[in-house]
Amino acid sequence: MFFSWLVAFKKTLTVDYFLSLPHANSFWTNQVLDAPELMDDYYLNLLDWSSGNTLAVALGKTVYLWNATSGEIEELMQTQGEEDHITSVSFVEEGNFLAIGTNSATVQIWDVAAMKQGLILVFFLENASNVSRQCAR
Amino acid sequence: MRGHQARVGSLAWNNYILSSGSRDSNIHHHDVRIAQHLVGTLVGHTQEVCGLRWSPNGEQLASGGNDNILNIWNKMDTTPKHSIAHHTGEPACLRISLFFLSQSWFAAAVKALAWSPHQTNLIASGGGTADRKICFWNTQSGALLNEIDTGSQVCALQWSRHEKELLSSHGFTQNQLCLWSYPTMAKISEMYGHQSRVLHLAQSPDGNTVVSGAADETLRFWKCFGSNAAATKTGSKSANNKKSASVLSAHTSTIR
Repeated sequence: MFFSWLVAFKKTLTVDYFLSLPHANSFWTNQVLDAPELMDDYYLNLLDWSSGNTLAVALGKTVYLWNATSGEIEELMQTQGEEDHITSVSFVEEGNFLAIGTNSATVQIWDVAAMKQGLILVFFLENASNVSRQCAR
Repeated sequence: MRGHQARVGSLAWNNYILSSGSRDSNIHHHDVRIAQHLVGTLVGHTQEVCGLRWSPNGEQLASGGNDNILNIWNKMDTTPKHSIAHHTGEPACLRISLFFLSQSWFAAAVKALAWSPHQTNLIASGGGTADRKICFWNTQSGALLNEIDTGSQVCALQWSRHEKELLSSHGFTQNQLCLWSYPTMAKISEMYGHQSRVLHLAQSPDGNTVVSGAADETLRFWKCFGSNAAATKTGSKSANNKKSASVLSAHTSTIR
């Protein structure tokens, strides 16, 4: 595992931020997640929070799921090609499916709940007349 | 029937319809229930589609592009109901003549889009570095309801589900988040912490917490909406005015 996030809870620290307006920064929960390789690209949409309280974030080639209830982090998927990386993520309203867009022009739909059981369902929408489905355990 | 020809930078769900916006300037509707899933192609932009949001009631789709255009589409229509080229700064009478120039002259891509959860047909849109404005639109009439110059690039927008408040995230120079009261657009608060532009915002399902993702490769969590925030707003005005970087550097480093 070449990557991990460390969650820093600093609840005991006193409020000591710079304030330009009344009560500015008093909203920060002091919680920070490191997100290495989060791409600095204005045109991408790399963050989404599901109705099931899971945060999806795309860091370079990889999509991570952070369970906001338990604090657990899981790796959902990785793009394969050398030039490829994630360019967008979006949860369906019910929170059970995650749509992922990539630099190689594919749109994939992942069953987030089933991934936890080891079943991964992928739709590649790169060529609409040729839908391929992959099931892997 | 072909899929996208370039990267897919924006996605939006409306029930079983997944809409995808691409650098090839097209938006595709996919019906995820059927094998022949491509059920619509929207051609309304000339450059990359970077903002895409369905309205809460699923009746309208808003799309924003690097061509500085905001398009409002009625459900599944393939021609936009409104095509708005406002996020460029020039007067309305010059809009058409400057339209082609503007694509190269202004970096005012419309990425930040947020539908109001309180009021139907109300959307907020934010412009890029050359525009810096947050605009409010009636999506039925196409009328501009209000606009405000924020002074910096608008990267993302989120409405509070509890109050009529809007959170915006910004780029150069302060990389701050701003909380606005709607419709007065009085600034309630500014929040600092990120070292680089704040590209993404997402809201927890209970609507109390917002997470911001920035180019400084951190995610930060803010309790600026909801009941907790209301208590903070009235209770903590006595906080220190001192500048400090200690808290900002207090978080731990990454293990690789």
